[in-house]
Amino acid sequence: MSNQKNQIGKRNRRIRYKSCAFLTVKLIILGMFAATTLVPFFWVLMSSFKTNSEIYGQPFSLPHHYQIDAFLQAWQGGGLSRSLSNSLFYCAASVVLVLLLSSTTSYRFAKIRPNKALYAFFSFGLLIPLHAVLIPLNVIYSRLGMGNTRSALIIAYAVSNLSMSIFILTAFMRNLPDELLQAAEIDGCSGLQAFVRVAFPLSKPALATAGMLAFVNCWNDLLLGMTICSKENLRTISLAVYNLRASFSDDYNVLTAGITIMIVPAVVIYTLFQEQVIQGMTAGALKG
Amino acid sequence: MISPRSGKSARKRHERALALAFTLPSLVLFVMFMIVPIFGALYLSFTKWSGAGAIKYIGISNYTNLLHNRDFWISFRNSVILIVLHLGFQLTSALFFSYLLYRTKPGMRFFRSVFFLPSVISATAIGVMFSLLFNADLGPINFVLHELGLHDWALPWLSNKTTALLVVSFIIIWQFIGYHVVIILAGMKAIPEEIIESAIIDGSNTVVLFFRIVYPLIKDMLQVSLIFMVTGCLKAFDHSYVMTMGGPGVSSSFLAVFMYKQAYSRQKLGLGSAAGLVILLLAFLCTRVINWMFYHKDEESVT
Amino acid sequence: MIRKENRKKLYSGGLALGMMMTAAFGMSAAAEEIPTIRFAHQDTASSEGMQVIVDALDGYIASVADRYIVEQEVVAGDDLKTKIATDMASENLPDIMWYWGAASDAGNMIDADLLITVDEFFEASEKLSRESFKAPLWDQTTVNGKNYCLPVDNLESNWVVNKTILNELGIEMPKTYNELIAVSDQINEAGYIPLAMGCKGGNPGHWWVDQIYWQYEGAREELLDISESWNVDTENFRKALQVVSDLKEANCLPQDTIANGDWGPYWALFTEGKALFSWSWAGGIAGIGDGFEWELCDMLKVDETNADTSNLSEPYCGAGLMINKKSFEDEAKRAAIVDFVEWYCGPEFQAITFINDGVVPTLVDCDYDVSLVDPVVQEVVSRNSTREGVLTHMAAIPNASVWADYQSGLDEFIAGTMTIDEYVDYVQNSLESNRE
Repeated sequence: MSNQKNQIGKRNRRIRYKSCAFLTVKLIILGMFAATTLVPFFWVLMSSFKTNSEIYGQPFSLPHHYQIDAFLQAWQGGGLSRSLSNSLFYCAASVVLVLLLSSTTSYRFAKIRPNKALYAFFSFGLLIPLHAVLIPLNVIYSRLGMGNTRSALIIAYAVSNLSMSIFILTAFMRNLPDELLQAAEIDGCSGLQAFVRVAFPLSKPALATAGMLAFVNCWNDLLLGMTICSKENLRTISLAVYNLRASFSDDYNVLTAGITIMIVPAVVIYTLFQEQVIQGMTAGALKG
Repeated sequence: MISPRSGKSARKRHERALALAFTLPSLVLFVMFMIVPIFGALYLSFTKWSGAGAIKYIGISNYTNLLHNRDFWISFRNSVILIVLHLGFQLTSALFFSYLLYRTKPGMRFFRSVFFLPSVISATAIGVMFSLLFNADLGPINFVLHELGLHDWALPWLSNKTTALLVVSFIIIWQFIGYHVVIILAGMKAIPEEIIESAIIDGSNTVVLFFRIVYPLIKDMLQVSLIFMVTGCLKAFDHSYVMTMGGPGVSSSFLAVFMYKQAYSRQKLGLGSAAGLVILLLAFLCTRVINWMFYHKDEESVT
Repeated sequence: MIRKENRKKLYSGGLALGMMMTAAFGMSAAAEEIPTIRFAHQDTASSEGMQVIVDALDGYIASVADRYIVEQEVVAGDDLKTKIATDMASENLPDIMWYWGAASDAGNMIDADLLITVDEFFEASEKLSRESFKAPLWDQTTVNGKNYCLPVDNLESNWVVNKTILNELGIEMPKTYNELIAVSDQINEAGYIPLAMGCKGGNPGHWWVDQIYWQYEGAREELLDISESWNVDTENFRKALQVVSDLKEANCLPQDTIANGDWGPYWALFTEGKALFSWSWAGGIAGIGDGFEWELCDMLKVDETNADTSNLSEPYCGAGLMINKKSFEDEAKRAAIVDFVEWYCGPEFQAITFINDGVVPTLVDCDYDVSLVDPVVQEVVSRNSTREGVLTHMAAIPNASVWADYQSGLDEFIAGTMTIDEYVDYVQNSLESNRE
């Protein structure tokens, strides 16, 4: 009897050792890949504190002296302070706009009147390469008298993220239990109220996902900002950082400082909404 | 949704009105600022225009030009290579890492966040970063290779026809692995625990578990992933343009880079628009193919 | 909590709507009172010197704000072309542009009659006339015998040699390309690069290639004839390309001419002390620093020619201010445009750009405090001011598409992925298919 117990004990221990070994190996592999994803960030951040010679000579070491000149030059000279707030405004406004539009439209597809053709029509936007429509889009804005305005850029951002948002939200909303909505109706809510009081709040994860992806797309966009809205005080941060490339020498430290400043808000937003994003993708986009 | 109060037809009317109200704003903006420009591009593709002066109608000349255009076909080939590399490396890596994360309890959240991080950075920034890292004469990568004595490996990465394309492609692949990991991992996490547990009890090891159980159940997410991957490849622009300007020449140009250069550098808006529409068509075809591949698994198709 | 959501929705919707209306209203309101002119350019405060220039510009704009408003639209580098192309296509061209004035870049704007000639401007201006500007500077932006661009971007360039490397290796400074090839192995073994040069999007490669080409007898005439002959395939051109090939084969160029292409990276090779020779504009040379011993030198001579490189320089004056015709003909805007352009091209601002960025004044009479000018810049300018200036294909090729192909093919040729025949054929094909 005790022999059997011994055997089982031994086997259990072996399994535990084996799984410990496996775990270590797994963590090492994951850790290595994680390192490769983090190294570029480290490089960008450290380079911002270095001189140009250091960037070329000792690319991966820590800076000799932590100089913030590059940051100051980028912030003040490059007008990053202004363009940072510009971009925050554009991105926030377009995210609000796109979420308003896509949540209502997705709800319609998911719960009110599904329409395959119309849904397919909206999904078409996922296929459109930006540069092909750049000039016709600007011509339209020009004809409407909206050239070089904030609203033109905000609408462009919203529309370019509309298809993706509708895609994510529709999938998520399809999985919302009908019973909840029916219960709301029975309680006397109109269709609109059922949406606002029940469906919308429940869709928070998907809204976070779509919102974050839209935000990041707007934040990183270069060409739309360059062509629609290059007026100095209306510049996006992407354009401002791009403009840091000088004519004679690439002051890499100023450029990386600018990139660092540009990355921070995107990373912050991402970190804040991470959990919801994961939930949104988990619960929602499941059934396609 | 039957209510004891109103009649069925009133209900139906109410429904339709609501559906309209909910869809109309999106539809109007979408059509005005997305669809109309596409038709604008379509119109331009049949013309010859430098952006200034008269627009000259030339029929399908732009399209026949593309058929014989060396640069176009090289860019096309490069886009195809990009897609193949994505399928071979990004998809497999994403599946691998997703599965690894799925079967690893501690630190899963941390790794998932870290992997996703590069997707959040602008492609331009990534391009600038890596063109310095890969600079054959000044950059750290060759520096390290020389230090390690691997002189033959210290190639002129961005000046060599083949390596330029490969380097640009792998940087795009690397940047978005985390993005697809998040999508696929989400699909894996949706698999009910019981199925996994019973499979383990039945004695399946990790590998069998993946192929027999997990893979079939995440096909939906794979479809989503594939569509984003392939359409993303067809629209790929920033990395190539920033790192090599699509060069040397067109060796690392993708279709979108070709389109941009025709429209803006060569001032051939008609030809550029035609190329743009070709990209659109290809993206559409690829999506259909992907959907067809997954057809028998889907009741509601994605597009 | 639900009521709050509703309110939030209404609020943000209303806000968005309000913003749109304000923007639309704001735009129209401004136009009624004093004129607004849109000025597109590429000057950003990317360094301390540029900061001074940008401040001066902003300062002037602020000082005239009671008479007219200047809206600046800034895109650095060649992408300014993208922005202008888009503006042009949407019939939204800025009122004044800092832009490249040769046919290769502004050709389509000129053909479409979107710009005024400089003579029309001079008629309206009291402070400036054609004679105010140095005569040879009009050459690089003459299109069909006329000028549409007021030259302000005059740069002088020079070769530089790293004397520390010469001393370290104990060699004499090479004066010709063959002499450079002779010591190339020695230089490479010591871990240095003989000539820091790159080519991405044609820059700076095409400048260097034309220095070689120009030295051949008859090249000058061929170059100036291109707009008529639509031909680049000449014996001289092929010989020049052969020189480049020979240098490449002898490992005189960096391994990676693409990553080291464009204005920053190749120059960094020199400023970091890694190369024996290089070439740059005065402003760049002024920024070398004292990491090593260096001096200005003449461009290397092509052995098989009879050129005298001590009399050659390669200046650039291919960009300046161009004025939108419609805006100029608008009575309300004309005074503003004239005033602003007069200031921008005037001695005060040109002195500032010279002192802070090495952009040589294009006016005949331009007083500046010599003590404020960087001594290196001053030396480069005085050294080159009496020399014969090399012209480049940029000023000669009459069509933007061909010019883009020329540059793109040159990237490949210098990177070693195209042979001489292939490159020449590529450019010729482009000339033929784009011939007007």
